[in-house]
Formats: sequence, C-alpha cells, structure tokens
Amino acid sequence: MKLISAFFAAFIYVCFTQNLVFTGGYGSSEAIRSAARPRQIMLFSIMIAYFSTVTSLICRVVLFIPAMKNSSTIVSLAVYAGVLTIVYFISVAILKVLLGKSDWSDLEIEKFFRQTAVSAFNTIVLAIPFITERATYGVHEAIAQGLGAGVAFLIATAFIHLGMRNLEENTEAPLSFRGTPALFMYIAILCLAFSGIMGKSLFF
Amino acid sequence: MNNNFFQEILVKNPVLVGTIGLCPVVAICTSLKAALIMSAITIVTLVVAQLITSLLLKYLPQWVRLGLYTVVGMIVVVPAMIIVDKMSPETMIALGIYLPLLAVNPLVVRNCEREAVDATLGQSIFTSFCAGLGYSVVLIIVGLVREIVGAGEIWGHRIPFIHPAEAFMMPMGGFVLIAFLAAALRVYFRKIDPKFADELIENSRTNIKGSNKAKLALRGAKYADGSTVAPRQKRQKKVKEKKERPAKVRKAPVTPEEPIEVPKEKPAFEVMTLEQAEELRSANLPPVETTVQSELAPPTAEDPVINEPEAPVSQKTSRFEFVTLDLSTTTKEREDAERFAAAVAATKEQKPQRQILNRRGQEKQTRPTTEEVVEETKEGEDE
Repeated sequence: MKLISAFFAAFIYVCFTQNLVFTGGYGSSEAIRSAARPRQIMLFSIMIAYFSTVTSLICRVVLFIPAMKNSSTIVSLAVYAGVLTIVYFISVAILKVLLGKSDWSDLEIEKFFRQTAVSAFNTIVLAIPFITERATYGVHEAIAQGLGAGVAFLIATAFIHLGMRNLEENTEAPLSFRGTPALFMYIAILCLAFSGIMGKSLFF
Repeated sequence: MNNNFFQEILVKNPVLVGTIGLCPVVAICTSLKAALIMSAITIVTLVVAQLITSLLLKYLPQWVRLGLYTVVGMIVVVPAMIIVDKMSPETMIALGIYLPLLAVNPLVVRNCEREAVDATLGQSIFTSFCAGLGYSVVLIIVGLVREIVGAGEIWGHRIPFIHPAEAFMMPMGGFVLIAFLAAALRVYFRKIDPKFADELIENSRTNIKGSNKAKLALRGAKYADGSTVAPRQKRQKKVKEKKERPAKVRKAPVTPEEPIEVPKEKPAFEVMTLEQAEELRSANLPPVETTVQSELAPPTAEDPVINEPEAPVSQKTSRFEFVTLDLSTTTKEREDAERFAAAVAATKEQKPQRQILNRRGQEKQTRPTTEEVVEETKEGEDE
C-alpha cells in the first residue's frame, strides 16, 4: 500500500504539481512543435512516456551499483546518455522488424523513425534519470516519474494546442506579435500559473 | 535579405524564428555568466557535430545517425563540464542538471540533418557557426535582462535601486523575454521587407499544420461564412455588443403637427357595363353603388340625337351618387337609359341597406355611415 501511494504521489507530482514542461522548461520546443501537429500529439506523448520510463528504470537500477552511488554529474551524464542511446537502438531494431512486415512504405517508416528519434533524444527524457537520482526516488517512483513525464508532456501539448487554435484566429493582436511571439506569451502565462500551483513566490 | 551571415543569424534564428532549443534559454539562462558558458558550449557542440557528421555520419542510415548525435553531443559537453567545474564550481552547481542536457540539444540534430548531410564541409560549418551565434545572441540578451530584473544584479554585482522579481528567474520570465525579442525581430523585418515579415507569420512553425487560419487572419481574407472576422471573434463581439447595448427607449408620442396617414380604403363601387347594371336591376337586388359606363362607339355627326340638350343626367340619393351619362346613340339605347334612370329613381325611396357588393360580386357588411346614422336618428325623432 505504501508503495502504491508513493507511486501515485510521484506520478501526480510530475504530471500536475510540477509539470516538467511549464515549471522546468524541459522539452518545451518539442511540446510547441508537436502541438502544431495535433494528430501526432498522442503518439509523441506515448513515445516520450515509453523512453522516459524505460530509461529512468534502467538508470535507477544502475544506481544500485556501489561505484555509481556517489558519482559526479559528468559520470551520470555519460551513463544516462549511454543508456538512452542503447534503449533507442534496441527499440528501433524491434520496430524495424515489426514494421518490415507491415504495409507501411519506406517513406512512412523513415518518417516514423525520425519522430522516434526526436521523442527519445530530448531534454524531458534525459532529465528524468537526473531528477530520480537527485530526489533519491525508489524503483517504483522512478517508473512513476517516467510515466508522469509522458502525461505531463501530453497535458502541456494539449494546453499549447488550445492556445494555438485561439491565437490563430485572433486578428486583434498586433501584427508583430502574431504567431510565435503571441504563443510565447501564452506559454509564459501558463508557466506562471503552474509556478503558482507549486507555491513559489512570484514577485518581490 | 541577401547577406548570408545576416540571414543565418537573424532570419534563421533558431529560437526566435525556428522555436528550437528553448529549454536552455528559458530554464538556465538566468545570468550573464551562465548565458556565456551556454553559448560557448553550444557553438562548439554545433561545429564539432557538423564536422563529424560531414566526415563520417552522413554515410550512415538516418535512424543510426539520429541516435549518434547524442554521443557526439556528449563528446563536447563532458569536457566542457570538466572545464567549467574546475574554473567555476559555483556556476556548475547553479547550472545543475541543465548543462548535461545540452548533449541532447535538438538544435544540433536539426542543423546536422539540414546542412551536414547535403552541403559541403565549409558551408555546413559556416552555417552551424552562424546558427550558434544567433542562438548565443538570444541567450546573452535573455541572461542579462533576467539577471538585472530577476536578481537585481549584473555579473554578480548588486544594483541598489532594483527590486528583484523572482518570477523572471522562472521559465515564465524566459518566455516573456523571447516573446518580446521575437516581436522586435518582426518589427525590424517589417521595416526592411514587409512581404517577408508576412511570410514569416504565414509559415511560422507555431501555426497548426494544415490550418490556414493564421494566413487568413493576416491577410484579412474571407472565412467560410464570407466575412473577414473569425467566427469565434464574431460571437464574442456579439456578446459584447449585447452587454453594451443601452436600455430600450420608448417612442415619443406623435406630435399633432405631424401628418397622420389614413389607410387607403378600397373603392366602394364597382365599374360595370350597362348590360350588367340592367341584369342587376332585373334580379331585384338591393341598390348598390353603381357607375354606368358606356362602352359604345363615340358619337358621330350623322347621329340625330347628339345635339339634344337633355344629357347628362345626374341623380343623388341620400347615400350614393349615381351619375348616368347619356351617351347612347340610338333611340333604343336612349330608352334603355331612361328606363335605368327610372329604376334608379325608384330606389331613391327605399332605405339604403348596409351592404354593398365587393369586387367578386359577394355581399359585404359595412358599418353605417355618419349620414345614415344621422338620418336614422332623425327618423326616430320624427316618429
């Protein structure tokens, strides 16, 4: 029971209270780009959840090795990035076998792999093992962190997409602010809101 | 926009135009020192990755290449971390986990995939250097402003008259600053080339794919309903107008000076021929308002009756006026006319009834006229 409650506490914390995209800025450029492609939001979020969960889990297991316990950030980076790269190659190899039997064209497969690479190698995925290490989370919490990263990304992308839809129709915005600048302002307001949820003091 | 260097730094700016590599800008760029360190690492990473890709990686399949960019990033970031740790340990602590995350900077992947694979070595390195420089410009401006506004310091020195606003040290501050920088860049583009500035908005990466609403909104073109205003805005405007509309004011009463329009009534008589009138009379119908109109040919000089002084004859009843024009040319017709006049005279004695024929020949109930009412009351008084 304790494990389950700890799992859900970590999950909710990453998803809502400390939304990694809005309070940490992790994966914000990927969130903006995938928000512009509404059909790919779900797939992209699932991929991020997969890579972050698997990487976080493996990295947490690696931390059981005594030599890794008091390692520096440089060593941690080498290990985590190495784990992420291996997970990516294994996943792509499996996908290549599976997609080889499907009706997908070469172009579609290439596009899918490109998207897989973007979802694997981004700051939100690589940040999860570092957060797990610094917060001294257990294995179950590491899994919750990984899954929560995917859900947090999905929530952030959905919010950004909704904002994009409203901003696109807006003809009253100044000409120089239309498009990207207006979206940045919108995300800034969302960041402020999520920081407020965290209970941070914002001004003075 | 022909200057290549200028184009790479401003027109293809990774942050302000390409919306890529935002994490380091909004998260860790909270001081000038951090911004400079990040800038240096980014430029070196970009150039080294470009070099390795041009020499080796471009011969590999794309899915392998994409996986190896992280390794290339690590090759640069790990030594950089060692150097920073030795030179300024407090900065290393301040940068936290964000510095190692530079190994997976999407800017490296984008640049290598765009340039290193297709362009020549020299061209791709030049492009990477310019992209890194454009990225650094944004990092330095954001870092400097955030340090001043958020911490009330410049390069670690306290500015006495500035109250630090902590919110600017959070990602929110970073997003606000890059929003203003992107807007400033647009203003600059608009001054140089307005058409390009419009294209920038139309082809912005933040526009939803497949949607042309931004394009329409920019051009003021028509939406599906034919208007130039977006449907959502139209609805909002309507609601706003409804709220702002003043209370209904009652119409002022009509002043006596104004002419009062009287609704036109249908003519209470029917035009008919002599034969029709005869028929009506023979059918013993009650007297009706009748005007006799002759449809006969106009009289000629040979006609003996034409110069007779008796015609026309006008007879009045209490209610109706019958005008019988004696336009008959033959004796028989004249006799008929006389007979009709006699019949009319006979009806004079009868009391006029409250009914007339409408155009379809049906009976129609009407209200008694004033004259009729006066006559009736007189008769009553006499009795």
